[in-house]
Amino acid sequence: MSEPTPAQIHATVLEDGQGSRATPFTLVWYTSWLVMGVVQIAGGLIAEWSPSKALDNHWVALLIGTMVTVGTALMLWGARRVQTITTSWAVERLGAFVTAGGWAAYAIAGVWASFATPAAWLFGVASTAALLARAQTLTTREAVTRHIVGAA
Amino acid sequence: MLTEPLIIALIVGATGISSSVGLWQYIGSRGKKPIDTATAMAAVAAQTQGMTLALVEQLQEEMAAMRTDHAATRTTLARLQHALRSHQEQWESWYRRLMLEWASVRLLATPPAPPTFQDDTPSWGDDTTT
Repeated sequence: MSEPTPAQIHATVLEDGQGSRATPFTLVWYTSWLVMGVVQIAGGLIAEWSPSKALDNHWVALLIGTMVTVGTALMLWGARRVQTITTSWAVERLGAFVTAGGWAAYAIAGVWASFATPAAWLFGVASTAALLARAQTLTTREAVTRHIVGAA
Repeated sequence: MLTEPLIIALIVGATGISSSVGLWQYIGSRGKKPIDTATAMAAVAAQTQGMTLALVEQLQEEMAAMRTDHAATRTTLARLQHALRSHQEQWESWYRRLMLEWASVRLLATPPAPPTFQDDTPSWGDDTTT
């Protein structure tokens, strides 16, 4: 983790002067993804157990569902207080990367299933980008906090 | 084009890479000294206070510079006003003189009408005495 720039310190302190907690909007956002992950798992399990095998590649749905569910659960847990604030950020960032992997897989599977229907895979691409941005924000925030605490 | 093994490799690769990066960052962060919330908040508050004081100081410096500029501007303005007043006086003087000159020229240009003589002098061809 490189040293934060003065601009990053300035922006982070101004944006987040009170120690960075996830906003209610973020929590709703994560929870909706958690539900989507559970639905993916359910879909994969239904396909697995369906005698007709109407859905192919059910393992992809299971994999995506597991990644998204586990990732968002970690993000939700990290967004709450976990021991120390740095631990919270570390857990939330781990969850963000795991969830990003799930949505990236979702985007790839969407391209594979039907490239002509971009709604599905664009959602995956946008979600992955949003999660990587969130992970970057947390990384910067941690770097700035460590810098400030070290300098104080 | 996209074949099934390629797609499977991409999906597994994406999930594997992202999970690995996440774990690597998590382990890296956990390897450092943890910072509790109160410490972080206190440090951020101190930083905010420091930034605010620095901002106030900067604003004070800028205000002092503006005050100096303002004083210089006022001096310049006073000088300009003085110059303007002087020019105005000169102009008024010149205008007054011009008006007088104009009046005199006008008087000369339109001389009074010649007097009308009651002339009873006989003409040369009208000699009645001889």
